Amino acid sequence: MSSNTTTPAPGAPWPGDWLRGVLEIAVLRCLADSDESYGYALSVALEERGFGQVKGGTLYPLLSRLDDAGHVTTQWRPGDGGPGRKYYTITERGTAYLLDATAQWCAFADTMTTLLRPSDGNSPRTP
Amino acid sequence: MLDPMKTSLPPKWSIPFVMTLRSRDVSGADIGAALREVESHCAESGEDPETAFGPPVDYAESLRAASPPDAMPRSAHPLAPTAIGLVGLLLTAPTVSAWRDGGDVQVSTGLAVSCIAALGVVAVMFQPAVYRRRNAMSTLAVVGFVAAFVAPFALKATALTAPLVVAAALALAGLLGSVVWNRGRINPDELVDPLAPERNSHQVMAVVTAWLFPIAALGIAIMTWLLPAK
Repeated sequence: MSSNTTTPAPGAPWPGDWLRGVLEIAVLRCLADSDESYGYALSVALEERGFGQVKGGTLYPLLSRLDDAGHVTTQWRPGDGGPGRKYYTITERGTAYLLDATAQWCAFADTMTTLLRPSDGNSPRTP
Repeated sequence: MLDPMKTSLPPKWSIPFVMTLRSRDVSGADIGAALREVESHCAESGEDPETAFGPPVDYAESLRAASPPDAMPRSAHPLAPTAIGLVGLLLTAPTVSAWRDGGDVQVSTGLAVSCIAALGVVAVMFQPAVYRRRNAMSTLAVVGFVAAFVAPFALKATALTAPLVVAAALALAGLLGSVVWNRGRINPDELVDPLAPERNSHQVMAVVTAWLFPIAALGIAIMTWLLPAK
């Protein structure tokens, strides 16, 4: 029986619903991997890690929510010959939240993988 | 203060963005920071704001939804400091007059009506349904303030009489109370540039506004003292 499934092309956009659910922990992960970062650098980092292009209209409201929740701190600094930048740094509270969310996400991903893949192969199950 | 017309963003995007946030009670500091962040992102990515952030009104709404402003404290009506300041101002002329001439303080019906008319106009103007209608607001302001000016001359009968000490204490309490109360709440809430050094020009204006009633009362007291006794 031939498979009708296709492998997503590299760089193809992920479904928006999926991204909305995991973007928060992806941003916190990027911040945890660096001392600090700013909006545009975060969007580049997310793109490099396979998330596709995250628009400013999606990223900045999320960063605002993280700030309000105490998961990040912010600081404005003048740019080098360009406009100023708002730098974000993950807090201890944000790190704890990230670890907890990462564990939950990995368990959920394992559950989905078990559900969708056959037990003896790597290709998705067909109906 | 940050002028949205003087950023590198096109005004056709920045102006509706700022106006939408303003109309949703977002603070000047938060609006300034959001504007600078859009400007910074567009400069670094090379994108225009419409491409990177979408339509300005939609992006402003999404920011507002992500971080709603704190609920305003409702412990007292915003007109309360104005009301007690006006009472102090109302009592100033008859109190100084009674002090100069001797005897009790007599407040005329016209002064009381004038005070109530002025307060009524301001109270109604605070209602969003009114201040968004320019014609209704203009009519109300003219009628109210004409009534406030005419009443003291038209209604000279004495409305109430009080001992000098009591009237003076009430006047001082009203005037100074309005200062203390207003100093804590007057906030021009300008758009703040997060990268600019802090300036205090708006604080000077706030202090002058807070002391408006005592300054007016001092002027009235001097004029009353110098006027010839009846």
